[in-house]
Amino acid sequence: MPVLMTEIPLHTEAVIESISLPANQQRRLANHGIRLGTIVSVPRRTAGGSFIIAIGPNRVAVDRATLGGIAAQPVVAQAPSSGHVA
Amino acid sequence: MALLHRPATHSASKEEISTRCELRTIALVGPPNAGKSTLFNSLTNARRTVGNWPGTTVEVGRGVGTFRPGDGSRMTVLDLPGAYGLDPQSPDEAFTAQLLTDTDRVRPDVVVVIVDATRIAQGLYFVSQVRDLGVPAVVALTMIDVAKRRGVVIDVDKLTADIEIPVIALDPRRVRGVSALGEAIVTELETAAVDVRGSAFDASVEATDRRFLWVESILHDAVTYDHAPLTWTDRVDAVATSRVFGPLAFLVVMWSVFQATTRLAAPLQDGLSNFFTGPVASVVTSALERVGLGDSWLLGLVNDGVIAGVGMLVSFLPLMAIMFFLLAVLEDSGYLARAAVVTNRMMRAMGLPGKAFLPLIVGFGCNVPAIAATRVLGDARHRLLTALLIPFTSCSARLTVYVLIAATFFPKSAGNVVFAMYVLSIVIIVVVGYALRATLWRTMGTEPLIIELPPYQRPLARIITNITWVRVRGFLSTAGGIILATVVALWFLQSTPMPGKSEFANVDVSDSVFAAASKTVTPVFAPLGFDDWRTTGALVVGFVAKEAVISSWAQTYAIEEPMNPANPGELSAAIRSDIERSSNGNVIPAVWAFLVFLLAYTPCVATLAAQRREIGARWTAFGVAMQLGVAWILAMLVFQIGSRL
Repeated sequence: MPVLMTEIPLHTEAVIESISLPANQQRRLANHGIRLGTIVSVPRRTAGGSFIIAIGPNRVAVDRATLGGIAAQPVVAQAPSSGHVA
Repeated sequence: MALLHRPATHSASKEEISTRCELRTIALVGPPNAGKSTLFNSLTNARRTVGNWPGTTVEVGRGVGTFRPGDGSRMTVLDLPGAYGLDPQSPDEAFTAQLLTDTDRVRPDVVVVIVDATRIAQGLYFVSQVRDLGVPAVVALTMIDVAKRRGVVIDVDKLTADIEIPVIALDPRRVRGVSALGEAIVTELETAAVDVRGSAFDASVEATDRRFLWVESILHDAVTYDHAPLTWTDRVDAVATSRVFGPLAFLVVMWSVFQATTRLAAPLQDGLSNFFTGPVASVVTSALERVGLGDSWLLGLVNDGVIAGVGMLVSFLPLMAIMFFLLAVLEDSGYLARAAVVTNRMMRAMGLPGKAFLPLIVGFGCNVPAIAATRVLGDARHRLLTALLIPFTSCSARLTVYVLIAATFFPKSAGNVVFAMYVLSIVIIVVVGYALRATLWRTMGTEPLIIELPPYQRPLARIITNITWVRVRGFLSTAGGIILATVVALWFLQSTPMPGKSEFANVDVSDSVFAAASKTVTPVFAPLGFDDWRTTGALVVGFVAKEAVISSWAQTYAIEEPMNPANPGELSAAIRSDIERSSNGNVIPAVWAFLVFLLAYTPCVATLAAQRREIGARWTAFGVAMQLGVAWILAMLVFQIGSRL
């Protein structure tokens, strides 16, 4: 079952299943590589109430509301962190 | 003043671009912070401002480059604002999109898409859009070495074959591979069809999905991902963006910048100041005496006007250069994007997105380019609010006056006083921003924080020097003329007597037109503790340019060697004496009130011109009234409360 990204433990890899945000935000996220099917993780929270999203080697900071608009399916623990990231 | 160029380059309007390109035109496009401006500088030998943070380029740069030496292949190169694609979400992105997609205009002959290998999916999405337009294109693949270290391995030959566009791997920061790119551009021009109007752009959702699928297929084929090790960027970010240490690190970084600026600049200013007030003034005086003008008003104009003005301008240079240098190091290293994240909550309290921090931090160098940098914000009301707040960022011009005042009244803790002014600047921005949000912009929504954190990189001396030089030169070319003109105009006003008093150039300053004009506004400053005409006169002059405040004092007090703010000597004593008198002995509250007023009131006419361009005359006038009101109220509170403690 996909869960909101805000509820997924830090450092857990997850596949994005749905994004419930306005179209322009979805497009902005997609520009940064955050879209359906992407494997992401949240390595840490930051000062200022934001979160870092890791997409492969890239890092994007988003606020809590944006992160809460993303639902993802956690990847099974033994899965390697390599692989294709769009 | 960052967006200034050598004669070969300049910021061009869309009309200029479409009508003035006699040569064939190359457009550099790509996501923000992909290295466009660095590549532009390499291709054209220009010195456009670059930085390792999104939104460095908010205007179009135009230059000329020769891509194949010897065969006359000179072409116009356009450096367009960063855009994630041709479906824009901010005015600077819209500009880029319109230039490439408007089929009624002649499009660039070749589009060079800069693709950052560490963010290859993002870059390929842009490539897919340019490809759909059908215009000749070349891909410049940057950061390939960084990508490899982060586990992203790109097969350039496969990539070229898959996307059917030449791909040139290069490093514009170190000028590697740039000539190969030039060759590829020339080849593309030679083989391309004559008509470059291309196809209309399809921005439908279906087309977007199709493009993402295309990107995915390319990545599957040409890119492999190794296990990405924990990079040192991740390790540094664990501290730089930490909830506890992030804000502390931000304060320490900014404190260090201002401490270094004030401490390092002082001895350099000494040398320059002494040079102008000593040898230069002596030589000019001797020369004028030899030609029989030693007793004329011309000697006063040259010594107290021109030499004082030029000397003051030059003595500012170390201060400006060190400040610009340190900010450039922060920009090029990638730290500023982290600072935007750390300050996000503060920005949101004002209804602004975290990204609004970027133009605000530029304002600490100079307010003029900061106003232009508001274009990175997508929402018009966010841009307006940010542009109204930028004048409260304490620019480096105000720094010179802080240093003089701090050295005069707080000699043992001058650095801390200067730092306090910068902290106060931030507090004023937050409070005024919050007040505006709560009153005029109650319905304004907040823009979400979505900001990319680029990998940290070691700042390169060539690039840092370049940025510093562009900004120093910008300061000299814009502020220089204003300062010199102000100093000379001031000399005339101070040399012109009121009717019935003395004669021109032989008048006591207190009987001059300048004194009379200053005295008319002086009563307004009585509740602030500095209702002395010399002090208020300096503030009036400071409306034109803050750098001219010190020269105004120097000329008003007729003190010959006033040009080193850190070692003000006689000027210090004269200012102290007047403030003691006007504040009835409450010197320290009056000094703080003066500093607060100086910080908060209108920065300079150049900033007003930039504001008028970005937000219109009506809002600019509103801004001036607000700045004067805030400055007066805060300074009054500081003096009234301070003098009662």
